[in-house]
Amino acid sequence: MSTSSSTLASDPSTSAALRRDLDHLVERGTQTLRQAERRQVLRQAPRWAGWFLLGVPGVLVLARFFGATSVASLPLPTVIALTVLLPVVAVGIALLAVGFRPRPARAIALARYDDGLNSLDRLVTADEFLRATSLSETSMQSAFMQAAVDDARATVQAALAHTLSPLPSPTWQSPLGSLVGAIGAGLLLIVARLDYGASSPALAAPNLAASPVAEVASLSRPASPPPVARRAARPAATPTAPEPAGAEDASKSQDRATRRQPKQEDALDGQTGNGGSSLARSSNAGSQAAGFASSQKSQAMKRPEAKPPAEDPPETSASSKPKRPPRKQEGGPMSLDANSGQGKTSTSSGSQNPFEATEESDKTGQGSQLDAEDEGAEDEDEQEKSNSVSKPMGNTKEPAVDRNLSNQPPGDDPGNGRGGPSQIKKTRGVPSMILGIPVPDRVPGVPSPGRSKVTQEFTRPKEEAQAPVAALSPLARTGAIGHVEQPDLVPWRRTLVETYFSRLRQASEQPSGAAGSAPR
Amino acid sequence: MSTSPFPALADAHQESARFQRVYLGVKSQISRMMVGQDEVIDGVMTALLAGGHVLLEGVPGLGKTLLVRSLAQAVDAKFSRIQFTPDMMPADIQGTSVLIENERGQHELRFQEGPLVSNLVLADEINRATPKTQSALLEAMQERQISVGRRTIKLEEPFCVLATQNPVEQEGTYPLPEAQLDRFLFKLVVGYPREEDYAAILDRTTGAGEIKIEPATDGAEIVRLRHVVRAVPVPAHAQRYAIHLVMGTQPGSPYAPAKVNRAVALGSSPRGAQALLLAAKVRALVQGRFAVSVDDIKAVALPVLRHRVLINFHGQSEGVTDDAIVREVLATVAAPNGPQA
Repeated sequence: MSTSSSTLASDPSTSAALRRDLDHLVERGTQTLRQAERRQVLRQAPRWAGWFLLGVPGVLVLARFFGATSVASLPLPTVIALTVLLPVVAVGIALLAVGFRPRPARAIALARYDDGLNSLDRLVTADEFLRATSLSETSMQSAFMQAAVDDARATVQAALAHTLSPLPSPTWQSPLGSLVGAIGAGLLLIVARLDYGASSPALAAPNLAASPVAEVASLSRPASPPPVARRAARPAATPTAPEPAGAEDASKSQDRATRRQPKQEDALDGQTGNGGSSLARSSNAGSQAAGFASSQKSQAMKRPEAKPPAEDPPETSASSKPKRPPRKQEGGPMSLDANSGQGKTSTSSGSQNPFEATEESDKTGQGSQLDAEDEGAEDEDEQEKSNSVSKPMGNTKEPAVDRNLSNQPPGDDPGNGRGGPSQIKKTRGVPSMILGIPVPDRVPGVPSPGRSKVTQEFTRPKEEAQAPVAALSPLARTGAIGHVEQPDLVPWRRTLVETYFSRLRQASEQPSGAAGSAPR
Repeated sequence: MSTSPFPALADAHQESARFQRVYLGVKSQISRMMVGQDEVIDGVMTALLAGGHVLLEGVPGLGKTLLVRSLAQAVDAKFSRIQFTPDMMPADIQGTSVLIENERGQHELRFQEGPLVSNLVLADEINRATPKTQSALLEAMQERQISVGRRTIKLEEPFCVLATQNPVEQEGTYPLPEAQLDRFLFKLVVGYPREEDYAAILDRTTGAGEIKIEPATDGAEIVRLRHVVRAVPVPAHAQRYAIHLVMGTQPGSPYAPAKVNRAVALGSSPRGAQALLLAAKVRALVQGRFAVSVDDIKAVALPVLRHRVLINFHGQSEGVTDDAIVREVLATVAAPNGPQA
């Protein structure tokens, strides 16, 4: 095989024939790849082509909006045909565009045959080696490249006889997009057709004006002023409204109106009709309104001398002081507010049933407005109480003690954490929120801190004479020094020293004649 | 002939045929001693012909040492065995200068070569030596030379280190550093033999007969065949695939799958790509082809890349193995001309 192959491959004509065969295979492989791409486009079309259904109806709606009656007045069959035709054209264009895509690489086309024939990349390799040779215009450098090309010859022949199996087709895409497009197109068509009459002013205006339905609608619709006019009319309308509920309440509400003008405006913004309800009402507004209505009734019967709100401008101007008036000065109305805020009813005056009063106030639509107003005042008071520094002692209604353990702060100001007359606040931030306030000591059973006894004695130090100690001269040691450890000595040296001293002692104990034989 | 674009066609066919003959001859000789373990034998032969070194990993008693000794006998090359121990020093394997007495009665220092100066070196239980001694192999494996004192000794070709290590007994061992692992072309995992192989193993090892291995080739032939391997061309698409595979083991690369990004601390180096192509060339020649294919690269990817991947702590805690990482990369990285390309 090798000899014949070498002969064939050495011939340039045969290598040119091999190139032609490979080119042919590339064409065939490219065609199958193109077919696969077209199949892919077709199977993916249900996902996106439906959106083109919106095209024609959308154009119709726009045409009606801009007054292009010639386009808008197309007959319905034509519109439907165009609507359906547009996605078809889009899919066709997409299929045509596949042909204009860049050609797949030669290697990819040949790899289809390699995969089909299980030839281990022989075709791709041979094509690459051959093209490298033709491009460089030089002979193939490696004998192995040449052998690889020759080795692929049989595979090329097999590939020419081989029919490529089609690539696995992609699954059909979900037609959800098309369904949405179709539904949208239908809706747009309906809108376009319904909007046709309204969009032509020449036809639509007389019809609407003359129709009995419009007549009824114009009669039943209240003549409400524009929003800007309503907003401008609010300050004048607010004090004059609650006449039936009692003049005292009206004056009270006017007094508060100077303090909470923005809040009232917000509440009025939520009113509908005659202002019978407010969006700013709390959830328990109903019960509170009932109690408050009865209180209002009773107070109105008790105090007929109450001035109407229009006659009370001096009080209003006097209340322009920024500081809040003391609670005692608020008098009856504040106590009434407290009752009403807690939902209590005062029935001592033998007035009519509170439910009836509520009904009356609801009928007028003004009592509830006052309710909301006073409820707002109650909420504000409660919020101020909860935010004040008197919260720790809230049960006793007394301000908190300061740093001087005094629960009576100077002046009328409540305890503010400044701890004295100086204006420097000494507790700030988180430490001021935790229980860092000094608590006075208490003796159990005694309503005071108890007594503390302090005794002071004044004494003078007494002088005492002492005889000086006589100094002694240092003397030499006379007694035995005792056993001294010699841990550093090695055993043989320790034995030597021990023997030396024992012999020395023996020599000293012997008569003086033997003293000359001291050990060495 | 000068105008022909295909000169010297017959040489490639002859070299390829010669290559296959030598390969099969050596393998048949080894198979007389070894039973089964075809993949391990192929791996060792591939590494020898590609010019690389092999790390054999397996529990004791599976014939790792026997395989290497049989290979040395079949190749007819100088063979030495080093049993690595914790107290071994670099001089014990490289050699040292010893004081000897010459003919004239004078004393002089003469270099005594160590067991590393050989053709086939069996480094048995290489992970039992200290890193200092292990590092003595680095220069020999990469540069094919050893430096002792002022002396540099060129090692004789073919030089191939076949190291073994036991994956179970890790007490008192020193895991090979990444620099040394990277120098092994293959890491082959020696598994237990199959049931049908046990009978042949027992017959050959417990019988009275002695199996003698005849040399099928010599060192010079191996060196020549290594040049043949280098001549095998690699098509561009196969080379690109090898590059993508290696980059697929590197966390953060565009070809790395999510598992690699999550569980790998260190991927393969370019030396891994070199090893991939060299081993693929040997496989192509063994199968009678003249160029590397993508399938060749896929076939050698696991033993080439498994020891070049370093699992991070996250992967270790999940029980991710280096084999699983390489398989994931193989499954994820598409062939350049494949259907996914």
